[in-house]
Amino acid sequence: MKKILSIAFLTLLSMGVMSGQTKVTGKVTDLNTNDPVSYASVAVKGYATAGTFTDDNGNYTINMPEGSITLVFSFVGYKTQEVVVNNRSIIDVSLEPDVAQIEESFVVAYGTATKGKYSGAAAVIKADKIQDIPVVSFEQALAGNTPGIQINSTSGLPGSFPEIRIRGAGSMNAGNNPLYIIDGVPAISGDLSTSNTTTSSMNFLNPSDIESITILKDAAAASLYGSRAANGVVLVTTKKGKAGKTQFRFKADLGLSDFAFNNFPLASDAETEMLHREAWTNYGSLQLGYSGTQLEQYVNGQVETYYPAKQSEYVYVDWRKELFRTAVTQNYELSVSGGDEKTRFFLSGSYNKNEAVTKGRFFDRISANMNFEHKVNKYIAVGVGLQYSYTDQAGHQEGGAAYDNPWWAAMSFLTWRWPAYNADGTYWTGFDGGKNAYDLNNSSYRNPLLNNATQITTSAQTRLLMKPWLEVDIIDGLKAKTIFGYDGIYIHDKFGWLPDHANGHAYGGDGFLAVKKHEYSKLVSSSTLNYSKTFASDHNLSAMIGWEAEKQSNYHDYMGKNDMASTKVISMNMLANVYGDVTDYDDESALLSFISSVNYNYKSKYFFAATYRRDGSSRLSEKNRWGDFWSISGSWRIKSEDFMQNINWLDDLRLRISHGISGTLPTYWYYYKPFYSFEAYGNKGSFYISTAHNPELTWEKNASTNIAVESRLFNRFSFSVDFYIKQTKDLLMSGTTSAISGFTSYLRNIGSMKNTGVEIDVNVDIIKTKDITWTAGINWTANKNRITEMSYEGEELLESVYILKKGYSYNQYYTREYAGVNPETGQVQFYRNNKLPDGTYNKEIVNSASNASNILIEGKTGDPKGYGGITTGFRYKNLSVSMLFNYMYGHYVFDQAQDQMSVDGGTSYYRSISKEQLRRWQKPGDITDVPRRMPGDRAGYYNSSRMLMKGDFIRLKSITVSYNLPKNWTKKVSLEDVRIYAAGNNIFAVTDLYFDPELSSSRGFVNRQTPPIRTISFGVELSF
Amino acid sequence: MKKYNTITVMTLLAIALMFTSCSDFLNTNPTDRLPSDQVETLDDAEKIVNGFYINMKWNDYYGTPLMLLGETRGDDLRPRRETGGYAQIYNYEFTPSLNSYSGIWSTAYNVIMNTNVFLNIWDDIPATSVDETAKKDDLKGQALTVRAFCHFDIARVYGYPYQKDSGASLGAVKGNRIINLGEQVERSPVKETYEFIIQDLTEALPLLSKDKNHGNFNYWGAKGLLARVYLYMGDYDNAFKHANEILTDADNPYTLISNAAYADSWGKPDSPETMLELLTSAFSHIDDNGGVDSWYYVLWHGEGFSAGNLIPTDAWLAILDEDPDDVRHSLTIQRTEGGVTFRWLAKFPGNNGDGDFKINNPMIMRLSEIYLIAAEAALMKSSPDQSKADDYLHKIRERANPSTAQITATVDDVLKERRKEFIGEGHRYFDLGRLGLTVNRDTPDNKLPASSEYKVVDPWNMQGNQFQVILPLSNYERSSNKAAFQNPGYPD
Repeated sequence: MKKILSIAFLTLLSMGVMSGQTKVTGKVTDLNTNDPVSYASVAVKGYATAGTFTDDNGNYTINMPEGSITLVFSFVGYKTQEVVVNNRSIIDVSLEPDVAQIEESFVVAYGTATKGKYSGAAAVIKADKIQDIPVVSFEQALAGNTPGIQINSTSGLPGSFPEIRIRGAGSMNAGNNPLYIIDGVPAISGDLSTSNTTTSSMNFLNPSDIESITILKDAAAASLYGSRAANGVVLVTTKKGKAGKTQFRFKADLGLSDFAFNNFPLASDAETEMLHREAWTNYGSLQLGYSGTQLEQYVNGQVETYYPAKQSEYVYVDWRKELFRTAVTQNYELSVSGGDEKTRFFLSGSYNKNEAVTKGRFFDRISANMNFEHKVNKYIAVGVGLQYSYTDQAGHQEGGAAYDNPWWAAMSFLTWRWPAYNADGTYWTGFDGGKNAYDLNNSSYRNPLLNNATQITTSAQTRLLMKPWLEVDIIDGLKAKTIFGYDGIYIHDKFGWLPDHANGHAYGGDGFLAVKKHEYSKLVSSSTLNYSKTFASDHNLSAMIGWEAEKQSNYHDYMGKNDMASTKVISMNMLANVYGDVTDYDDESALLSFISSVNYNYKSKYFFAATYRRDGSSRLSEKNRWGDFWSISGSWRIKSEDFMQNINWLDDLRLRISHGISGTLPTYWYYYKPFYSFEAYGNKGSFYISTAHNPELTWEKNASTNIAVESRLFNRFSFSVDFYIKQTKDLLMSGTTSAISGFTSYLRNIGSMKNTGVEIDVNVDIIKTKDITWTAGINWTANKNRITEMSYEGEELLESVYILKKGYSYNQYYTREYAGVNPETGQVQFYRNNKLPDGTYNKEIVNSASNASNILIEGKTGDPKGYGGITTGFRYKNLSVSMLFNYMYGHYVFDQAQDQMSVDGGTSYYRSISKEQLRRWQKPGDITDVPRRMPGDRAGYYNSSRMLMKGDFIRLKSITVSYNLPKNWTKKVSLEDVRIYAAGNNIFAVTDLYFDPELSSSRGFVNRQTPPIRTISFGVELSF
Repeated sequence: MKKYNTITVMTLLAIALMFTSCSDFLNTNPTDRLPSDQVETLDDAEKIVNGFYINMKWNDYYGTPLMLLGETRGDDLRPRRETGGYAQIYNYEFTPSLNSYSGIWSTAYNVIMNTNVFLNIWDDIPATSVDETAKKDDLKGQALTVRAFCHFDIARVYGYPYQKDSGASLGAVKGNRIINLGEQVERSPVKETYEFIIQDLTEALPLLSKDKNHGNFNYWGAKGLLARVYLYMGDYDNAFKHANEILTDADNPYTLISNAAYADSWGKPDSPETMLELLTSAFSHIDDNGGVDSWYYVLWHGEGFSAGNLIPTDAWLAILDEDPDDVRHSLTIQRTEGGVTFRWLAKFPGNNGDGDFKINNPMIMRLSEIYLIAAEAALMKSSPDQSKADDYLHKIRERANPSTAQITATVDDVLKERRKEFIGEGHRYFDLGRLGLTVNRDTPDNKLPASSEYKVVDPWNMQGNQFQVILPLSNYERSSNKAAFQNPGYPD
């Protein structure tokens, strides 16, 4: 192979040397700036082998073969220019920048498209929108940038996995995460969280290495990815080298992080004592009938028992300050890019160090990125893209795991009167010491400072994504491309408790350590043949056919040991006994596909496109294995019609329509066939059938229709409006079955769900002058989700506080119905809501949560009525400022934290108390939503609609201020460009909630996880 | 032309790549499970049969809830705290909404499904020699016995006691074949369920091995189960017949544990009298949580938040204390916690006898039970045999205290002996239920709320809310199998 390429190359060279009659010289410059254009191609029309390039200063010399008359000057980003030589020996040329080529070309499925000629729904986010935002992975910087994308963080720990929903949730059991394609290769994506870290699969990419992101939203855009495209596709394009001078770029920034919101304010020490006093006074007088001195003595005694006065031998702290910190993040990057017309490269390396706001936790990354491409000759180009990263992360369990989640510990049970240290500086461990009258013989109530210091929760990840490719220009208009992708992830997890940890003896020995390995690898090979041709000058046709094969394997192993000989070295060698099962497993999934597409347009006025993909998946039985996915789309550039030519204020007007089918594969890889599981029975082997199988299983089918209008007016005002309907059929649902079959549920394709929505994107260039530009934009999305069919008529599936029911949203709340506070007695009230024989509900008011039934809470869902972003960018000469607001409204969030923090005195004696409790009922006539404080009333402990709150917010999501030092200064120190900047995210939020409005999951559930953080960073970027 | 050569190579390369992906490309398998079509040999078949017992020991079945239901609803054990899951079961707070006890239904049917899948492929299992044929027969016998055993549990947990209405009320859905996913089948009456159980056991007996095998059903286990089933039905003639045949058969490999060995025998598996226990180990716990969700943690007398939540009632301790020299005193322990002194049951110190309660083999059947079945049935059968009853009861009493004098046995004596002998083994409530005896908890130490309707529970004549003496089918089960009706009294 190599030999053939070399021969071809040498042949080409020798032909160039041999010819030559007339000599022409000249200079190629940019029409606008007059800067020289280096490495521009200078070709002789009709003489394929006679050609050259301009040098660093834009100068060229070429020998014109006998009989030649025309020179062709071309360069990426410029319009090609032909010049007739006419016996001149000096020809200088000014090339006109091609705006369409520079700005409007973007990456789409298996190729690129030009904005005005594309009929699908795709959003493009360029590097400059995200490059300075201080985030670990680019996904976190997407919120608000473009309509149709909803992003929820699952944790405020750095590197955490965000939930991304493109045009709503379309699936129940098959996952709702989009497919990620990096430089044409489907990457391993989704949630790589382990038991002690929450981890996004995209952490491995340094956001600065990204050139652009395209989000494919409708079937026309995405269905070429077939059986994995139903949740949308995110195409990531990494930075490539540009021909020209070799560019060095160094960037460094330093950031400070803290929680972005004053989450769940607690009652102060004095308020807490007062609230306890009030609770016991109510109890003593109302329940026990005490009064006068007897009551006073009783209350004093109870308060001292349950909220004991501080004692001099202990050290008390502000727990939030003790467990959390202002975290420092550092980021250093160096990139080199350059090349000539034949060879281009981009190399970069970065080091990113993030402290978590939670003390002791962190995320560090070392990454390298390399993109290399070389044109072997006129016909053949080769290249490789390579991303490598090593990340090291320490996190903790999220949610209600009180002793492992410091955030929740600080929120729920660490009151002002819990000591942190003994006088000698050692950790106070009296939680279980019986010092206090109540039963705290429970591992949930240990000193989290000690737990933090004695817990091992690290996860190290190495990832290599490698993408060699080869492209051949076979004949004019016919191109073949083949690309291989290898994506390998190796995760090494350590989880352990030192002997002093609350759980240090949970498994019987002195301390415990477990190691887990996860190896994910994916091999992809895809080859396409592209043909494009213009017929009779008005008919533009392009077509593509190709195939793709993909194999992914997921390997996991686990071993746990207990009894540490020493805690000085944390290694499995230091532990004595294997504890529990030692396991490993290796799963494989394969996909084989045929792909094709055709695009046609007439006079760039009427556009038509169709795609077709046939996928075969190893996750389905042989009879259901192959599926067909397709789309058709069309657009009409109305402005190009003759009758529109006179409307001068209208720059562009287009109508786009698309329809198509994409799919979602089961997340279970082998559900279609029966298996025996293994387990030791005593010292004998055993096999048993543990899970159901369904040979009829097939993919979810997602039919999506998109209709859109786009326009640009007065050369400064542009907008687009998209209407869409996404109907998911054959939902992969784990539907109930009678246990008499041996199983209680099994996965099948029943039910359907619909998302309908509108997306509006408006952008205005308010000021456009050489020195000042000011742009503003707003985008808005309204999505309505409905379950249109369940596995059988009348089926209701309950998932936590949600109900899945025909006619309602996927995020419909289902819980007890709170009836407020009785103004006379201050007692909590619920509606009983048990179903009467006539089908109505008993609306009797009851005072105990246990007497109230759960009910579908009409009108309250986790779905926003609308969400989107507002952007503005301002530039004055070298100074630029950009801001992004995001907003969401009309949804309800479910605050699970209330069950511990707002329990109205019920169990508050060993809990922190929320500041919300200051609004409690105190005397007859008080109108409030917080009941009287009364020990034993565990009203707040039980889930009810009291925990549902309007989640509306608007937030300054990010802001960047950047200044380029004047060129005449930088030239003096031999620097091409120096930019200093400050950037921040989650700057402030306006909301009625008393916790971060972006704390909730995509369904609206607030599960006590670490809240989002605000990072402000300062940086400098040098180019030379 | 060179360029065409290059292109040709490229094209050939692309085509070659396509053909490397043959049809096998899309057939993948995991490494932690065995595709069912690869189960072929007699050896594989034996492992499938072992697999039945895996789910029986699980913490949805014998590992916790079946034991809980057998003990906590009775009068021998009580919760130490007034709150928590054990108080609920003590107070008969069962609802059709999903709770941990609905797992008995689903887990028992999972085992039944495994037996039916096995019985379906049994014919195809290769066996050439006499030994192999005997082994193959034994495996079928085990499958039938396990299937019967699970049906028996379904009938006694979800159906009324047989003797209440001669088995007329609803019992189990008969799993006499593979029931398809989504299929709806009605419940058979308790009587039909018992007939099916007896039919399976009768078919199994001649197939089963007579070798001692403490982790699997054998001939003796199946015969003992048959005796137990007849006892529940009140067919004392047959109950006596089978129990007596075991006790008088010269091939019977079991002997009672001696008085001297009794205390220590609980700390190790495979005692001389163990007919069936479900095997656990450090690598095969009762639960997915290292063993802490097991019945033995509920009883465990060590420190810990939820350990030791059930302790013997004063009433039970009083009958134990009637004889201060009873060896079974060694199975209780006194400990003070939070200033209060309790007497705990310390019967299950773990398979290694080292106090690791997390590894404990659930006891299903032992020879002592056969003696007491025989004694009870001897008194009740159509032609009572007082001397056999006296002899058999005395065997157990004498083992507990060798200096005890033989007494003239009554049914009450036998039942009292069962209380002392089987505490913690899940028998008491079912004993009361099968005979229609009241659960009497009107003792000073009871932990029931003062207003409770369950101070005196009559399992046959339910008053008020006392329909909760048997468990409801879960809503989940009801909604997916409309042919199987709910038990009376429960909301439907």
